[in-house]
Formats: sequence, C-alpha cells, structure tokens
Amino acid sequence: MNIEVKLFAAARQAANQETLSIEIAEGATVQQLKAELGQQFPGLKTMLDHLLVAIDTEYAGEDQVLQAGQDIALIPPVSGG
Amino acid sequence: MIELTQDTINTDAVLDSVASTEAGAVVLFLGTTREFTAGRQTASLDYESYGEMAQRKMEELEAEARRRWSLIEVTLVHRLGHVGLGEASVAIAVSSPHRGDAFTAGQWLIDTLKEIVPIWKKENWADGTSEWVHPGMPTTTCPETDPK
Repeated sequence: MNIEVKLFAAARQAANQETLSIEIAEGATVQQLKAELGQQFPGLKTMLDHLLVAIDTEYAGEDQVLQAGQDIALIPPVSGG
Repeated sequence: MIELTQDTINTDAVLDSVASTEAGAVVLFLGTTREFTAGRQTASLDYESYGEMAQRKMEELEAEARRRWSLIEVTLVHRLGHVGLGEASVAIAVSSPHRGDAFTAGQWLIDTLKEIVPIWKKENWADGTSEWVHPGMPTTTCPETDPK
C-alpha cells in the first residue's frame, strides 16, 4: 500500500520535501516503515534511530501496524519552548 | 486556552485568560530568546510545528495538569515562525487557589511541553549559519535550499 509521510525540521530538510510517498507491504510496522524510508531516502538514514513516528497525531510504538488512510508523520527530537 | 500563533505573544491577554476571583495565585512563565548559548551567539530563532498534533498534545498537557493539581485556568501559547532576541516564544500561565499548585503546575507544564509537543526550533547563529535543534541527534547545518 502507498502511504504519505509528513516531514518536519531536519527530516524535512534532509529529504528536501514536506511529504514523502512510499510503498510498504500490507501489515507493515512502524519499524519496517523506518527501514524502508532509510533505503529509499538516504538523507534520512543517519537520523532514523532518533525519529519517532506519529500515527493520527499520536506517538506510535515500533511494533504498531500501519493502515492505509492514516495520518503518518516522522517526528525528530522536539525542541519547542 | 491553547494557542499556536505566528504573532507576538500578548502577555496581558495571557494573564487575562487565567484571571479569576477564585484565584489566590497566578504564575506566568515566558520562554525567551537567549543571545548566547555555550558562548555561541544567536541572531534569531525560527519555530515550526506539526500543528494538529501540537494542539492535541498541549490539550493533553492541560488536562493532565488539571488532574494533578487544583487549577482554575491554564493557558499555553507557543509562537511559530521568526522570533527575535529577547522575545517570548512560549507563555504558560496558571491560576490556582494557592501558590504551591500554580508554581508546581507551571514548572511541570513547561518541562513536559519541551519533552513531548512536536514543535522545533531552528537556531539562526550570528555567523550566518542555521541549524535545527534536535536534542540527542547529530546536528545538521541548513543549506540555502531549505523550502521553508
């Protein structure tokens, strides 16, 4: 299935775009998405260990399964305040 | 009141938003742009957020603070976009019947906001370079091609 991934801050800058479109297997987990992103977008590779994934505006665990139509975002370490 | 804004934070409006005749204490915290960090000079900051998620996380912080302490009103305002030296990027105000809860809740709110709310700061250094601040992650200097 194809999913869109929102990017922010250094991750957006590394990929040089605000959203990525990526093909992942049905039933893929957050961890598998991150591995796939690292392969297809080398600029993100060095960051992956530091990135969290949000699904529908909630932080997701590495084992959480992705579904079509969800709102997916990569969340680099936050620095508000 | 929860707000993400591109505008200068109006501290009078923030204080008005937590005013109550039930309150014996109001605490206001402002996070402001510091010129020197570890000897390095900052010219300005730029903030961006994942808006829907930041709003939701700030609402959750308010709800959790209200569960933990006896609070009357809670206001969290975070500024986005360009912020100059000395200007406030974040304001947190709480009112409570007694000062202990107001101080403790205010401290917890800013500490937790900085840990979990998806907002990011870019340091624009005085030497002309810029970098996104991502605690724990190796730094990257922004190229001129940054689309924002």
